[in-house]
Amino acid sequence: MPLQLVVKDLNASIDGKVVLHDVAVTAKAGHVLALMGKTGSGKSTFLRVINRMAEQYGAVVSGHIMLDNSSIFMHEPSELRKRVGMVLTEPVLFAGSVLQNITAGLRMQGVTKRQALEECAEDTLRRMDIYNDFKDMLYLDAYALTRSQAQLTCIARALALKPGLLLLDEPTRLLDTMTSIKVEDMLFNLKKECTMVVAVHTPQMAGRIAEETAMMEDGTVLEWSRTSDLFYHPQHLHTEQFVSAKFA
Amino acid sequence: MRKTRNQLFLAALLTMAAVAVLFAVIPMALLTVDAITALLRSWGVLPGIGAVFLNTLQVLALVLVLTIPLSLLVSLWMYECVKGRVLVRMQRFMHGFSRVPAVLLGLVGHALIGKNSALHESVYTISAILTIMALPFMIARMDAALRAVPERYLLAGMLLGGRRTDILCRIVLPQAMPGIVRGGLELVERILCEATALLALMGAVMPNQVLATELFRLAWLGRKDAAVLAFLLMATMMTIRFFTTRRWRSEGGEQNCRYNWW
Repeated sequence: MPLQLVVKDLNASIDGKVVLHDVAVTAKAGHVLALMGKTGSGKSTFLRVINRMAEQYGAVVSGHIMLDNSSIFMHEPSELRKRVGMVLTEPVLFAGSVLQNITAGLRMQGVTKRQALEECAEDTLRRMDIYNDFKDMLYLDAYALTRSQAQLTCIARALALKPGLLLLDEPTRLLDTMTSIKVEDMLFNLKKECTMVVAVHTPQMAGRIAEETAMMEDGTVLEWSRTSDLFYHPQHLHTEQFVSAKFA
Repeated sequence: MRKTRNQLFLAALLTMAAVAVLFAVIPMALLTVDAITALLRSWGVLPGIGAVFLNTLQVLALVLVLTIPLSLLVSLWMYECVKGRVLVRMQRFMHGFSRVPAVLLGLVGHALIGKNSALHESVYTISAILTIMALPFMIARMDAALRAVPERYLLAGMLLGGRRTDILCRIVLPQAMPGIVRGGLELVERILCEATALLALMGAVMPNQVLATELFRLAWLGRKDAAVLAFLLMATMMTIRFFTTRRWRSEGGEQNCRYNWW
């Protein structure tokens, strides 16, 4: 069930240094919101504020972050993260088989029956349309996977918990072009299952998968609108330069 | 965090209580080397070298039963709860203590425990002395193995909604297992080949009662089967190392890379 994310007046600081300032964006249920901006603009921090990971590492956060009209600060962080999944840039695989990796979240929730875990893994991989690629690898050591397969496994691990909101921090930055396109197609098809907020490293990716795009700079949102509007009628010079320089 | 600390503390208490019960309930006389060897020989089960193997395994098992859970709990406690200067001091102490030569520990242990306690020269004495030697060694090894697990594994575990205890048990420990197993194997080698011999030669056990001293005795007498036995012991250790290294291989020798992910 996709969740709606509404962020208003969001401020965050780490060790007294402001890293997010007056951020306000909305990701409608079942939509993809892309975050563009150069390295250090606050994209990753914004994602980690939403699943309350930033607080874990000492960030001070204030403002309104609502998931379907319920503040995220009302939930225990571990409970919140079951509803808000996240995929990192670099795939992190745990010791064990591919199946154990995909079902790691479920096992941490106490699901131990092998059949239930296998069914969940199969269901997740089918939803991602990669079951045929992975069905013979489920019992292999996860460290034997290529980087692309590892990243797909990490996405499957996040989706296995059936989150309502999925945060992706430059998920295709380390992947080859063909796999990146495959991942983008897959994310596009998963929109009906969960809302997504994606930090992108190229404007092309935002153009291909996102309904809305926000341009970030120095911890603030310069502008935020429908992707086509932002690409063809940018309101800020910085956005125009960012989009046109790479989009040409 | 507080809940995890409490759980770890409770687990440590329960383990210590279990060990205390074990010592209190099982009659000491039954666990002396002489008694067990005599009993098994009377059944005709263990003629000759078989008894030596069994005695050695018995000492090994006792030390491991005491050392592994205690050192695991202490290292987890250090990993989770001890920070800053106290942690550095504890690590230095464990590291320094684990480097004390077994000869010295054996002499001190024998003088303190073997001669001046109710344990006398029993299998308990040997196990207690070896445990004193083994604990700091294993704690230092386990602590190093736990801290070598990169921060991003914890991060990935938290992203799945795992609580600290789940992450420790299901992610950090399996990830640290190669280092822990390697430390355990080194410990087994020390117990089998180094410290037992020293203790036995001091008179805590008779020379023909544990493997290392039996090897020494046979070699002293010029028997060629000592070489065969020594070779078998070495081959066994190498085989165990080979298979455990394959089973618990590390992720490309990844080093500790705690970093700030901002």
